[in-house]
Amino acid sequence: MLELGAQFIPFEPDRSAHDGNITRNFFDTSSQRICTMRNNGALGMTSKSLQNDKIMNVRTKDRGEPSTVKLSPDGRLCAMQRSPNTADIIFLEKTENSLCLELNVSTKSKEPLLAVEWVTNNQLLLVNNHSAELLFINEDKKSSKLIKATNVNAAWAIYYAPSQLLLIANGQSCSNLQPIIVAHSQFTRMKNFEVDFGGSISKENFLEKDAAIATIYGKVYVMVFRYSNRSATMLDLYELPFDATTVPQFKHSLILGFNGGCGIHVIDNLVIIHHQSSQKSLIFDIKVSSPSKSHSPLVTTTIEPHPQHQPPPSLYTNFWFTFLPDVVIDSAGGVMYSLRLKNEKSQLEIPEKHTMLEYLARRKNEKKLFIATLLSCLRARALSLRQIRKVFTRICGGEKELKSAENEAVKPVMSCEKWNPMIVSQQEMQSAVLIPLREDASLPESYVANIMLQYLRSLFDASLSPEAYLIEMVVETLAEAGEMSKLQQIVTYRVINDSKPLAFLLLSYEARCSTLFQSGVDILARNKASDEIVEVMLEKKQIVDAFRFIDVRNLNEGLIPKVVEAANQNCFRQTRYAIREHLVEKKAKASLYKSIGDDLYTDAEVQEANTEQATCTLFEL
Amino acid sequence: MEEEVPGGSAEATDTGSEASFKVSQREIEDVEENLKNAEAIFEHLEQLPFQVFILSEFGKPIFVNNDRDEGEVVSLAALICAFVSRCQSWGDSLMSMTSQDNHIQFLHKSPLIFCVVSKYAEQLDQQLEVLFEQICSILSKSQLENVYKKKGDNYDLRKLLRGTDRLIDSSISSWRASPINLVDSSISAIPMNSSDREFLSTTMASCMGAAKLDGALFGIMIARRQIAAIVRFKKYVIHPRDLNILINLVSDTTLKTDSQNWVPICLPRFNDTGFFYAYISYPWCNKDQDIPACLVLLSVKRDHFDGLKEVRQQIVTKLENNAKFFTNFSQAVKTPNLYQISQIGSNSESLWSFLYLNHSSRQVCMSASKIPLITRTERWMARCEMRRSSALSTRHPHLRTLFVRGTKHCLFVWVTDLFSLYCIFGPFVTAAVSFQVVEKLLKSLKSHEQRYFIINTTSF
Repeated sequence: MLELGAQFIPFEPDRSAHDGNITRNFFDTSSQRICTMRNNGALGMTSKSLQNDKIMNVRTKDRGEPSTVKLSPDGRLCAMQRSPNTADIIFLEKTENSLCLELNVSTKSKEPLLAVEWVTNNQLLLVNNHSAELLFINEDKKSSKLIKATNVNAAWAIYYAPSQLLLIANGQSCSNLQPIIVAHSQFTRMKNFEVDFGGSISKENFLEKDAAIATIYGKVYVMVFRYSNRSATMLDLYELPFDATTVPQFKHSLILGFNGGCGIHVIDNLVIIHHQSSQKSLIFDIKVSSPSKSHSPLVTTTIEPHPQHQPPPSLYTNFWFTFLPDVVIDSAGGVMYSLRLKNEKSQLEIPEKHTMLEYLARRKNEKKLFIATLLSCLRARALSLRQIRKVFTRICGGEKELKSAENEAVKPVMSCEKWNPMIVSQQEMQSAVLIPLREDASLPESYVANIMLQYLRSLFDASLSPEAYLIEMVVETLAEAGEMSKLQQIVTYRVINDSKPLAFLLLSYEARCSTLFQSGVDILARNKASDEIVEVMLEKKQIVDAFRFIDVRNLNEGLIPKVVEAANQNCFRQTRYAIREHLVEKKAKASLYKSIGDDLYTDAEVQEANTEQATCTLFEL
Repeated sequence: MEEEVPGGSAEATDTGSEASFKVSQREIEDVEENLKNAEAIFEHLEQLPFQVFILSEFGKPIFVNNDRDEGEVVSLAALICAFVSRCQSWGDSLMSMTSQDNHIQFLHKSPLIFCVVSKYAEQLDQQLEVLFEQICSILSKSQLENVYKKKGDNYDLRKLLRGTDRLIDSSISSWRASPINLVDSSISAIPMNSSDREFLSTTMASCMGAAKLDGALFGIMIARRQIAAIVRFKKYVIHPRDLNILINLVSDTTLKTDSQNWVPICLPRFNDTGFFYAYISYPWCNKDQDIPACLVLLSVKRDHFDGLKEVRQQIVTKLENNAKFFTNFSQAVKTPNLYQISQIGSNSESLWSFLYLNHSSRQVCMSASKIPLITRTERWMARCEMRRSSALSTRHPHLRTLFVRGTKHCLFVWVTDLFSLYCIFGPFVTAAVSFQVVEKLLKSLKSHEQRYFIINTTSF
């Protein structure tokens, strides 16, 4: 399910040759570039990235071995730390084929630097034990200026570029973490919090390598490895709030189930832990696994190399370095790889279909795969109706409401990449799922009908009004499935909106469920389609009812000749007589009922009936 | 039946098979044939309004209406007998069977079994009881019970009932013709002026009284299956069902001569062990005039013929002497003038037909026929509605008023402790309007009460 090296880029591996030439590589997490320094830059510095093909090649003075190399977002400046207390800014662009210009910067106190980070293209953040300082680098004048400084007490610091978040560790065992937002040339302190890293005598301090920051499902988490002597290692996730007043909270705990060296990736909102000794990778989805705080791995899998690498590179080696979000660097082989999810394999890896669909529904750009998988699961009848509805609710956007309600209250100071849940439109659902299901002759119609009802229900839960074509299909399917009582109910309780076409559709199903006829007429009545109702009644030869309806609604006389005509064709003379008498009583124009005629009953038969009745004559029919 | 056997075709299909199979095939064919026959019979039964079977407990057919084939009757009788006796062996009794719109009702009154097959479900049980009473009226119940004991189980009761088939037939016919009165144990009075009716009954009572015949209990004037007057000895009363048996008897055309008849008859509701002797005469049914009135004088004494003949003569003379009365009477009897709906007054056009039943006197008043209920079918359909609602109100005693808007007409039913009223209205009437009409109708009936009902029974 994990594939290594769909994107990759080779670089010159570290070496210390006998001829005195040294090659060192540095990975800049903020710009996601790997920088290769040959002879500390004297023989050249090359920076490469997986995202673009632009390779930067410059030469700098050899002023000692750097400990960090950081490139500014636009790639014009490079910050290099060659001595513990100062950083050098190297102006990369304007020095073709010659040595770069350099500028040496340091904090006021000249204390050893803990972090050197680019905040913007020309703002550099320096952190030492006692302060964090923001410098402005003037590229033209080759000068620096202090913009802002704040006092901190730092044991170590890490910087998360996407949210411009600086995380500082302090306190007795470095387990008190202070998040600071560095934005708009300001330091904004957020609430500090304590993490539990499983401290013990053998492990006194919380270390920088045991912490990481990532954005998962639109929220920023500080991930902390918690070691324990008794049980296996856990990865605890602390959620950072967007505002400065809320205390970060412990939210999730991922059960790793092993001890020992591991690498961490966050790809497409999944936390992936690679365990070196067992050569396994655990994939966690905090939204799918469980409603409780602790999560077991959703999938345990092994990385597979992309087939373009021949011979395949060795995996989970000692030389691997992993960087967030998805970078694997093989320092021995000198290749930087990206790691990629192969979601199409999830069908094999996640046996439980509902979980798999929940998983797929949350992946980026996997709508096609999701829909295809959903269809195949429905076809295979692998889901219960309850599960089907949950899935439907998800893709209708039922979750969205919950999210937006949560973080509106306070003014946010931190930003991060938003997570947009997958929304499948009604049209897509119909064309890609519902219609194929209907056309699948092997499925019982009632099952398909139930699926559609669940979809309809989900749409309602998401307060979306179903499209007319969808309703039509649901009605047709219900009718075909013979689920007349259900159809009756959704019509009666107005689950689906009234419309004349729907009414006529229902009328056409009368033969199979006579009550639907009434439902159809009711809809027409609600639409005030009186003329149509009269037509329908005449069609059904309900002449008397048609007349009653005209009476009740006080309809115009224009309809009367038509009804009289229908009566003449279909009714016994008894009814025709009643109609005539009724029209006479209503003082309707004589021309309207002339066609009924006055000679319905002859005097002779009236006389005979009178005699028979009066004399109680016995008769056979 | 033999000719219906498709023997030829069975042979034809047989040609390819072994001869040894023939025997078994023959048997199957017979079963199929019987089934086919049975199906045909049932199809035929379905179409009849009423098909009645009367048989002895031992399966011997006694009476079947509609002139059925003898063989068919025997097999059906056996079937009915099997049904009834099987249920009896379970310590139970079979009441009825219903399939879609075919209703079969059973009545087991030892030693007879009655069965009716009908399209109409209502009142079948009462109809069978009426039939039982009809047979009792000929034989009396005690005689009926004794006859099988004396003559053996296999006795053919038809020997005793010879010549009375048409009475049973006409009793069945009256289910269709007369209003619900028969099965509802009610009678209808012939509409007459109150003074005329008064004169008629006092005349009859005084003549009966003057004769001082010990045992002559009732005098009844019947015309057109309706009662003109009834007089009684002291407190004796006659049940409407017994009256209907009498009506059925005197309506028999074979009796209608100018001579007199002396007929022994048992009135089971009065006493189902003994016989009355009915002096029946049609005083004005001769060459000169044709007034279809019938005078029935009932006595318990066999030797009262001459005495009653004299009484009859006195009554006839007295009635004929009152010229004014006699003119009115003959008119009222020749063409009874039923209640016209137009009598109600304005707005009554929507009322098509009604039937009013007085619960205490067990008398009904039916409206005269009115457009659009003219043909026999039209009238019968309206009657069926009334029968059905009558059965409904019997089944659900709490039901007081009912208004049903049908596709052909509206039905209004009103049942109180005093009366039941069944009305057929036109289809476009509203419940409110129909109620207004009904109220007016009740007022009108009240004011003409003496014309349409016999209020007092004169005694002597």
